[in-house]
Amino acid sequence: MIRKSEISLLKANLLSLLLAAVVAGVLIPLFNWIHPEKFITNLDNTFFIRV
Amino acid sequence: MPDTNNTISTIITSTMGGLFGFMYGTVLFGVLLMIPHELIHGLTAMVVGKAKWKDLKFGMMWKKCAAYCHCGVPLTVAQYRWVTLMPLILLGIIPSILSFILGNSLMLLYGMIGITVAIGDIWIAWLLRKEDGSVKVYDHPSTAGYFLFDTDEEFEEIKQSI
Repeated sequence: MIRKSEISLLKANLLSLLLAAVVAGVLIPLFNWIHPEKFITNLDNTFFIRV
Repeated sequence: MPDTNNTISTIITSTMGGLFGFMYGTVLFGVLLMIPHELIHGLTAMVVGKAKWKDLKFGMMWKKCAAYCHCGVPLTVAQYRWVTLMPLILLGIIPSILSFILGNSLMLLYGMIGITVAIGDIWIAWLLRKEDGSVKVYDHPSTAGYFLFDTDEEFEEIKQSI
């Protein structure tokens, strides 16, 4: 039997914003807890921040 | 006496410039990540699904803001799961874990972007979660989705319908 499944890319794009918020909300505090001194200093030394 | 206005202006400019530069860099990285992301889909299909380079089709759906890699040969669900999730593993999960080990927050940021851009792949894998690994699957050539089928006759039917 043939079964077809499709996902909505519009919904996927919207869901990616939600996923980004959840991932950032979990991983950033966890990283900051393990490496409290490194979170900002690493980013501060990046090319993009310096620009 | 220091020029207060000039100092404040410098602080605002450097802060906003840094913030916008950072946001610009993050978005740019997300867009550039599409290329290795789709290449990993294709290479995994070649390795686990025995697909040839000519069986793969890469492109961009501009209206939906999504890049795609279509595999023109049928795979099993077990193989298709690897093909679908490999960019998430290589560009999202592994850099995120490494960032914790190395204490590198920039790598964490890029790992998080790698996870976020794989949302469509995670959704596809979720839809396939209850399927048996040996069932055959054919990637939809023009949209994000797939066909599941059992026999070669059904595969021919699918190819004629698209």
